[in-house]
Amino acid sequence: MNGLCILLVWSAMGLNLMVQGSNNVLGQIAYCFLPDVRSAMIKTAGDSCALRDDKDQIVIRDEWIWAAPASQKMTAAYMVIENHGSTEIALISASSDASRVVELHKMELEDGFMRMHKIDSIKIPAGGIAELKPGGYHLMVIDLNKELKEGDKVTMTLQFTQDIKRTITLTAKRREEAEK
Amino acid sequence: MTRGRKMVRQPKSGIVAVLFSVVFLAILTSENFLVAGQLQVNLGSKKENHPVANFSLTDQDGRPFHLTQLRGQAVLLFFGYTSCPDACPTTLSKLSRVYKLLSDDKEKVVILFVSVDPQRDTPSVLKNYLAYFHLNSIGLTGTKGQIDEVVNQYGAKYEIEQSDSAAGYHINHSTDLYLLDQKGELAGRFNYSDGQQIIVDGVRRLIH
Repeated sequence: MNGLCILLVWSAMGLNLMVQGSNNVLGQIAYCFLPDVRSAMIKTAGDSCALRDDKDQIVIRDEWIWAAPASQKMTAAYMVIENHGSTEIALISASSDASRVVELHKMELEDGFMRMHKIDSIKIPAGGIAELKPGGYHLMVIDLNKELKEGDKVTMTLQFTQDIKRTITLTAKRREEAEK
Repeated sequence: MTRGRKMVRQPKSGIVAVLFSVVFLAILTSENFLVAGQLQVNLGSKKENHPVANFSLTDQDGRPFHLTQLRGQAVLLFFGYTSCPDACPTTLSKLSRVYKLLSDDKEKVVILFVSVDPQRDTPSVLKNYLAYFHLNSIGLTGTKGQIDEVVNQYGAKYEIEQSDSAAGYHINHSTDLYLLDQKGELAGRFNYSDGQQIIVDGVRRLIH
C-alpha cells in the first residue's frame, strides 16, 4: 500500500515537473489543469494512506490580529485561507491562548449601515480562498486575558471540516499599519 | 424622380422623428433631473431651517459638552462604540492617516466620537480607547435619550442586537462621517468607503 502511495505521489511530481518544463501549447494547457490533477492525486494518496490532513491543502497567509487599545477586552483577527484541495472546506471554529473565546463573525455594509453577525462557518471553495478582512469576515477574539501590544504573538488553532486542524501564530499590529 | 424624392424624404422624416424623440426625451430627463435637484435643494434648505448647530452630551472627562464650544474649528463627527471590533477602529485608523496627511491643518479639526453604547462606554472607557489613536478627538456619551437626539439630528441610525455571542449584545450602526463647519453646521458627509484623501480634500476645502 505504501509503495502504491509513493508511486502515486512520485508520478504526480513527475508530471508536474514534466509539464512545467514543457514550452509547447499542449503543455501549457495541461499545466492550467494541473492543480486539479495534482490535488486529485494527493487526495487519492491521502484516502488510501490516511494522509488526509495534508499539509499543503490549507495554506494560511497574511494573518494578523489587531493590537487593540489596552482597555479593550476583545479584538479581531484577519487572514487569507487558501484551499488547494479539490473539495470545499469550511472553517468551523477557532480558539486562542490569548482569550476565553474566539467566534466567527461577518460584517455587512448596506446603505452605510454596518451589521455584524455571528456565523457558524466560513467556506473556502475547492481551489479558492476565503479572505478575512475588515468589513468582511473576522475572528472575534473575546475576553482577552492580556493586553495585546504591537508585535505580540498570539497562537490560534483553527478547526476546519474534514478533521483538518491548523495552529497559527498571529502578530499583533496597529490597524493603521495593517490596513494601509 | 418623384418616387426617388419620396425615398429620400422618408429617411429625412425618420431623422426628424428621431431628433424630435431625442429632444423630447432630453426635456423629460432634464425635468426629472430638475425635480431631483429641487428635492435635494429642499432637503438642504430644510436643514438650514433647522440647523444642526448645537447639541449637549458628556465628554470623556465627565464634563458637560456643548457643540458650541468648538466654534471656529472644523469637526469630523461619527457614531460608534468602543467594543466595536471592525467598523469603528477602521474609521479611527483611517482618521489617523487623515491627520497625518493634514499636517499643519490638523490643529483646525476636532474629531467627535459619539458613543451609541452608554451602558459600556463610560467617559473613562472612551478616554482610554481614543488615546490609542493619537487624534485630536473627544469621546462623547450621555443618557440614551440625549444620544438618540443627536443621532436623529444627523439622520444616523443604530440598533442594539442581542446575540448568542460570548461578547453579549452588539450594535449595528450607520457609518457616515459628518463634516461640520466652524459654525457647527453640517457641511458634508463622507461614506464609509471614502478613502483618506477624499476626507482630507473635503476638510481642506472647508478650512481654506
